[in-house]
Amino acid sequence: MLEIGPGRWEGLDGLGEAMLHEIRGEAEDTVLAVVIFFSGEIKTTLSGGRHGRSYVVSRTGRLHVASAPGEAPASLTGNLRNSIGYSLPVWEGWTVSAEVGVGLGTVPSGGAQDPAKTYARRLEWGGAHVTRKTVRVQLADGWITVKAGTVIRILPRPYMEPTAVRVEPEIARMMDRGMAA
Amino acid sequence: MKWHQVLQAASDLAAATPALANIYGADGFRYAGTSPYVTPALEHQLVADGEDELWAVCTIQFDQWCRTMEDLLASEHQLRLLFHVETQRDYAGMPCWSQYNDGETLASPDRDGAFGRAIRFRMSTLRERYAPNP
Repeated sequence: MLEIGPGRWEGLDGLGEAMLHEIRGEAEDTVLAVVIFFSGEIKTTLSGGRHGRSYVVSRTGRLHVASAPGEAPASLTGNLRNSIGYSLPVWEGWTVSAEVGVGLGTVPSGGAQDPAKTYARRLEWGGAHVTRKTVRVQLADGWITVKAGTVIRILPRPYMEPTAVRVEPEIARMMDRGMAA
Repeated sequence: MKWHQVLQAASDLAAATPALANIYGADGFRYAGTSPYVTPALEHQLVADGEDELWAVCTIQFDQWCRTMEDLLASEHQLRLLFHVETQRDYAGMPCWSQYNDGETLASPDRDGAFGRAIRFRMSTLRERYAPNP
């Protein structure tokens, strides 16, 4: 019986390894191009006007229109958008990969909260929490009081998943082109 | 465009499942945000949809709001039984692949008394064929 265990067919193994060496550079370039494209598209998703509740920003006095449930978050400080980034490709055996997401871009300066550690996932997924202290919030048409102990339900403002679904066909094309080169 | 059909079919299927009906009751199934926040409730919503040459892919999210951890675990187990399947299934006459995508905790039970967890499923069905207007 023909044995095809490891090491027996040195010629074919060698040929396969040589071919993989040959395309290693192209594979890495393609993955890098994909993560740059993907992170740019997430930032695009996080840009533009929204249609939610409007309120006055106490620090600047400017009227801010927040996102409505289901919309991507409105950009107020830009911290979330700036924190979107990508990692450089890394190899594990014959597999090359890179990451895209929150916390891989610019970390907020001046003591502002890092979105990756605080609100990035809550915006994407939604949630519920109890207000710990009574706060006054200025809306466009007046002030409201939110009492301590009020349960606040936050509906999702997804921005990662819609972007992933939107760019998936283009990423598949980029991978095809990269491997065909 | 198929997401509205997918969403409706998935919600109907969940509501018709006895194990989930026992947890959430007859009034516990709804589109997210359409009623005041009460528990128990199983809310569904569309998160993303796309369309390419062949597929109309959409991601749907179920928000599970339960009174006990046991209910939450039973609910999630049942939802995965329904929607994380290896083969194509028929949803209200529509062939569709569905796979578990991701999950996230929505609430800390010590703060508001509810166990909340969201899970997402990726639903892939053949895209609609659009005919030009006559």
